[in-house]
Amino acid sequence: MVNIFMTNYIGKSIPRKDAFDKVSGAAVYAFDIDNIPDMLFCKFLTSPHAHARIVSIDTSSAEKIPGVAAIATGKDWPVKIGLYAGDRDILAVEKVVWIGQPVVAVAAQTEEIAERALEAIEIEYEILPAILDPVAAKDSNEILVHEKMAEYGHSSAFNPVPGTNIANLFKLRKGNIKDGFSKADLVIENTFRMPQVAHAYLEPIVSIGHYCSDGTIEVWSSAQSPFTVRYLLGVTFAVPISNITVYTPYIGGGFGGKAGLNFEPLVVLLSRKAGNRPIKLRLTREENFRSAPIRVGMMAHIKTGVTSDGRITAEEIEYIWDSGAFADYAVNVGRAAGYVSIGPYDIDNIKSDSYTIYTNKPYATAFRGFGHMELHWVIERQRDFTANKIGMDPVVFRKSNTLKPGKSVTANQDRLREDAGSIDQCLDKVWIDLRENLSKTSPEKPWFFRGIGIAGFMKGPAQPPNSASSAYVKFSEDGGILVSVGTSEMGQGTITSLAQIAAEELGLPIEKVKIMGDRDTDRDAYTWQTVGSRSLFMDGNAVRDACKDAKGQIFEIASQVLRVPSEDLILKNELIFPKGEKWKHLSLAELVMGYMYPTGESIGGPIIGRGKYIAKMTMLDPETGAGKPTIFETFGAQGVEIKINALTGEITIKRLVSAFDIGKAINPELCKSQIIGGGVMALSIAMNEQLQYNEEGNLLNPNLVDYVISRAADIPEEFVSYLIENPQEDGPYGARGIGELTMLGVPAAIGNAIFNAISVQINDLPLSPEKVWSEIQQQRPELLASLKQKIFED
Amino acid sequence: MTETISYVGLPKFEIEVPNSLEEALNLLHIHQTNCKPLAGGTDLLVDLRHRLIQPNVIIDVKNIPELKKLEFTPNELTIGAAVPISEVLTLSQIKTYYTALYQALNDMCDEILRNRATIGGNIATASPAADTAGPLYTHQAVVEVQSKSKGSRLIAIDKFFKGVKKSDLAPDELIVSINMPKPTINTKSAFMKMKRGAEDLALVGAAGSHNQEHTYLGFTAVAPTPVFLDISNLIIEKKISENVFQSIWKEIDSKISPITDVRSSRDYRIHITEILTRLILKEIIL
Ligand SMILES: Cc1cc2nc3c(=O)[nH]c(=O)nc-3n(C[C@H](O)[C@H](O)[C@H](O)COP(=O)(O)OP(=O)(O)OC[C@H]3O[C@@H](n4cnc5c(N)ncnc54)[C@H](O)[C@@H]3O)c2cc1C
Repeated sequence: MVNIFMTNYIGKSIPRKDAFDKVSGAAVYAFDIDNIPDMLFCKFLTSPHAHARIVSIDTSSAEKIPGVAAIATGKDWPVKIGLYAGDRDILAVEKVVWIGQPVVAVAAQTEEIAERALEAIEIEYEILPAILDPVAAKDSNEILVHEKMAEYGHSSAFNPVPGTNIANLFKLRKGNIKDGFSKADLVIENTFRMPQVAHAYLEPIVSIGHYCSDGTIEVWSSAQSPFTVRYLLGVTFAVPISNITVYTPYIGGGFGGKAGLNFEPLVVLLSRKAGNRPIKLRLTREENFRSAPIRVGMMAHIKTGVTSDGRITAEEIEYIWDSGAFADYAVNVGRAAGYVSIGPYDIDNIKSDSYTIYTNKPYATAFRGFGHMELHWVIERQRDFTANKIGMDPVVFRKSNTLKPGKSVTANQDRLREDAGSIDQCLDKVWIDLRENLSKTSPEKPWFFRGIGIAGFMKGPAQPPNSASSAYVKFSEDGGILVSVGTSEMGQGTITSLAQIAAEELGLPIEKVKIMGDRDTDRDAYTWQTVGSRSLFMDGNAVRDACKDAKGQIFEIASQVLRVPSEDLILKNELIFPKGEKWKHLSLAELVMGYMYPTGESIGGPIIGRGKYIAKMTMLDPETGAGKPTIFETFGAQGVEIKINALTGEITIKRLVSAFDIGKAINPELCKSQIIGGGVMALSIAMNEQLQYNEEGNLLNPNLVDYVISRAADIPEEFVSYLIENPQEDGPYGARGIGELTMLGVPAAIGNAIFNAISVQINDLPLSPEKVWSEIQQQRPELLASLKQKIFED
Repeated sequence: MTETISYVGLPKFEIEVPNSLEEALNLLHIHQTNCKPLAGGTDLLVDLRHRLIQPNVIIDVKNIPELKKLEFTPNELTIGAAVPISEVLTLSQIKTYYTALYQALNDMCDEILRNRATIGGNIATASPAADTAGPLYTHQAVVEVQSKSKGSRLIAIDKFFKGVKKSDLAPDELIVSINMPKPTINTKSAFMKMKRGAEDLALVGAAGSHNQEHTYLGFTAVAPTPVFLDISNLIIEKKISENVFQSIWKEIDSKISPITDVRSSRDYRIHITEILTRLILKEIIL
């Protein structure tokens, strides 16, 4: 058990460290960096075809335009790049694979000159048949997005199938699926879908690259994971990694869209071509939609066997992830969703295949939830569907199948820890709240219907087994510290929680803990990436470790000065003293730069504490998926009360109730702001968002007028959040991650509430008014007809 | 290949800021199709950035006194073409007498854009989805336009729209004001708009007004131009029944021809037109 003791900072809602800078406008973003001497600007020309061979590129007249410094094409650096699968071109090399793919890039004195140069470039294409539908693409070996897949490098965790469009196939197997279905009284099959969506972060992507004449590389970028950018740039340009520096100022939202490597290689390449001058690229919103990565689309077919008393005997699933033209990062989305496949349940017989598929559409990357919001849309709709068919309460049914300590996590033969937290407690909290607070009055018009729905879920960080974090703390003369971590601040608030951990460990007032909001790979401690709700857990443990290390060094000196064994020393309120003898204290300020005796003799020296944490996981068996895929799971449940206008299909969210077993809320207000932010983002995706293409694969809504995201007035009236604290023994103060979890149950909860309200099943997102109407029209035409009449009667 | 370029800024143009109507009309006369008036810019700037238009001269009309007028007299309401919507909304009579227009304006664009966007700009753009078009018809608005060549003329709103983004305005003509008679007592009007979230362009917009003599309906986003119907002859005994509705719907159905686009399918637009019509008739008649 974690010790319960009086704390100064843990569990306290300390105001965000970055709040003032952000509210006042003082915070610096990559867009603001304009003062690099000799900087040029980049614009790129994109492919107008979803699939075409490049016959010729003529840049001769563009080169003559005054102010044009360099023009690059794919042939300038035709290496394949990528994090998990090396399938990406910096600029299209032989062929283009989606509308919006960068083909030629220009560096010029100004963006306007670069635009003029683009207008003067001629590209000839030979159009190839394109494949847009992931289901067709999975089975096609005629139209291939990547004919040369066999030549690509990839991490050993993945299984691409050359000669097809399958970028990765992840298999999960447990028990005997046939036996499982034979024990079932009822078998229920469904197909569920989710379209591709955009991250729609506030800040479009900005990257500045400088290939210096001494061979070092500097990059400023709106990137979530500066160390991964540094590493992959090293690989791409065959440069020693320590010769590369990546600076990331504050990030205006990332949500996974700025994880991995994006446009950094392009600006570095251009910089080298332009005589080592720095190059700045800032995407317009339209470019960001068409040329930057997006989120996978999903199609899933699920078959569930259940006994009449509510025990799930078998589950068979096929997930198809529409990754677009590159699957560099999305192969891991398919893998992570693959090993979780069935959600927070304990089922004896499982067969699941998770396919990441190439299509000729914009390419997908990480997205808050990493496949888990999609998979829980499938699982949690199917659970309600099943409960309804066998006539059980949806929560009672779920709880007779949920994952309990000691049981294996999905099929991975990795048993759930005793201290893992409780899905059942989350489900209960939400369900009781929803039912007790259900609106008592009947809706104001006969065509309004109320409903409630719930969804449970779980997620752990999806990361490689050797993912690691580090931290250091460096003292200043007055005993204050600088905490250095590698995790980025893109709105989550993690740096504030990390500062709280450091203040707690070292007995410092929070005002004396400095933690920077920007990242510099030369200055800062390493972390693998800022993704997967891993930072508070991993970097938090590293910060704690660094503080303990510093404390050990402090006690070593204090022990000599005070002539007391270091085990007997206490550090509190910036004072070090023997237990019970506060009056014999030394101050931190007296010690941290070295202690000087009254005689002038000195010992010790400036203190730097160093800490680290490395994931404890394993590789997974390629045939069964068995192994340990995550360092922890966070469990949660979300529920909604909705009002539907059955005449128009409009849904109003009255309340969003969430419960998470987060182990320990280091900063409860920050947790709640994540719950509200994630909740609204998920509502937006559930009810409205979808990237829409025409038959040629042209994106029809590449801007925020046509691609609708939630606005202030769409925010529900009421949010209720429960923070359950069953501590995780290896988490910092018992904490688990929450950032992504706040979205996972929302779509399925709404889908379930719709059924609860009007007995209409909707399996495809988004739950737009039009979709709801068309399903009512198909499933209950008599309801619509009778409601229309009621308008004049009412 | 220009369609594959996403421009960062606006194309080059000269900007003129006339202080009088005469000066503005002169400029329009000189530059004709090479110039464009600028009110709030919320349509114009988007078109400029996407290079849908490339005028040499932009004429900012926000300093012209006649276009800044906002006045309610015992007989009529006058809204200068360049008055921002947020300012129009400050006039309390709008809500009382011109409910449909009030409802449209109060929900148009978003709170920030309403500080810039104007009714003049909204109708001059002549988008099939222009939110103000339906209410302006149901309030029987008349548009006053002026040019150096033709002087002043009045265009009834139902003669104003000529096609997708096409209006009756000549290149040298400026909208000066939008004028609406004060409605008789007992006139009721309403506007409803179906959209995909709290702030969106209309999937369908519907407006209606009704009094002793007249019943008018106006629809947007269901045809190349806004659709206007005088259904006064169909309203018998000031009542609305299913039968009466069916005869009204027959008229509407023959005039609308919605398309399928990113916002909505044709079928859903037709369905929503029907529902909004029912709700509006109920609101203004029953
Ligand atoms: C994010 C966003 C949301 C929007 N939401 C809505 C919405 O909900 N509903 C809706 O209807 N519209 C919407 N619009 C479109 C736009 O805001 C409105 O059409 C607005 O009323 C235009 O007014 P403006 O003053 O900004 O026009 P401007 O952009 O200044 O001008 C528009 C056009 O009218 C011409 N023009 C302007 N004034 C005159 C004049 N006095 N005489 C002759 N020609 C003139 C200009 O030359 C230009 O061609 C939206 C736009 C954006 C960007």
